[in-house]
Amino acid sequence: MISFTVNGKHVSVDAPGARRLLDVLREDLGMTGTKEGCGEGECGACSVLIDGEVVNSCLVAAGQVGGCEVSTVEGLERNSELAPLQRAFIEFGAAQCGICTPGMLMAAQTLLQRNPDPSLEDVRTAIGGNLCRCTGYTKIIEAILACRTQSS
Amino acid sequence: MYIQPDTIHWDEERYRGDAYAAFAFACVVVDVDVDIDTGEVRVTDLVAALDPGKAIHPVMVEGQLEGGVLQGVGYATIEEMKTEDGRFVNDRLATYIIPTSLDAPQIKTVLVENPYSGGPSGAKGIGEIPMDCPAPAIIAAIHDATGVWLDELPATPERLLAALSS
Repeated sequence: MISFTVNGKHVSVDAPGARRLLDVLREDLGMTGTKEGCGEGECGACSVLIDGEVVNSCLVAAGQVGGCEVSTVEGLERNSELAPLQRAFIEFGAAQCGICTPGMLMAAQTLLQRNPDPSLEDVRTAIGGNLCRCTGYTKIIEAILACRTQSS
Repeated sequence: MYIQPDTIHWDEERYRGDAYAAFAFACVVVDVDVDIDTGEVRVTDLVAALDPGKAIHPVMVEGQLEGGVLQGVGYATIEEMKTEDGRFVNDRLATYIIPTSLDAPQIKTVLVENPYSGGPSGAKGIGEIPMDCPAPAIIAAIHDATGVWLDELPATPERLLAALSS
């Protein structure tokens, strides 16, 4: 059994240690918010946080997260209300096909938590590991910049 | 079943008439930085104007335009499908490189609405046209900056250095 927390809740899964964290989240725990893009650590679609650090969950073995705090896109909302960043993504049209969106949100949320007032270049750098083929990044960047004062 | 609107005339037997009923129009202007020592081309700014007919959902039309032109920037500068013995050599994101947020230029869009009577609510198709303009604009801008015309895409450092030295 591997025990860790996901979005603050304690979970234990009976999974081989080499199983990808991505599969543990999506298939064993039924949390399909996290998406699989390339499956080889290039695209960032499967980004989650482990102890506050953005990682590609397709490259993390389940055995590595024992005792860790994992955060996924499902944890962004509060009391069934979308987080300001999620509302901004909707308002600005920052999601098109949607596959990159959960990873983008996790990378952007982490940036805003560490730096509530990031510059354009800070934003571009923070999502530099998250590929998007639909939006040209324009509206994603606008949505993140719009949340500069709303985040703390 | 498809029913042709009254305004479109197409003769299926003779293949005459309005084969492409709704011509969309677009224009792209780019700024590029060219490093003549390394051959690296960086598209720094891009303005795209598009006639989508009627923009039914302006935010999504802009998004389609922004995403399409960035694919066009990738096509012009870094993206190349390489084949060997009929197989793709770079068939994954580790080897087929697409633009990241750090590669993307500042993109500004201008919608020039010109409703088309034969389209739904006056709209035209805009899926393809955003990708058509960036490559010629970028190649022309490289010519403007360096005096050389590249006749092959993408404009890689290797190709540009070869053209500069010949």
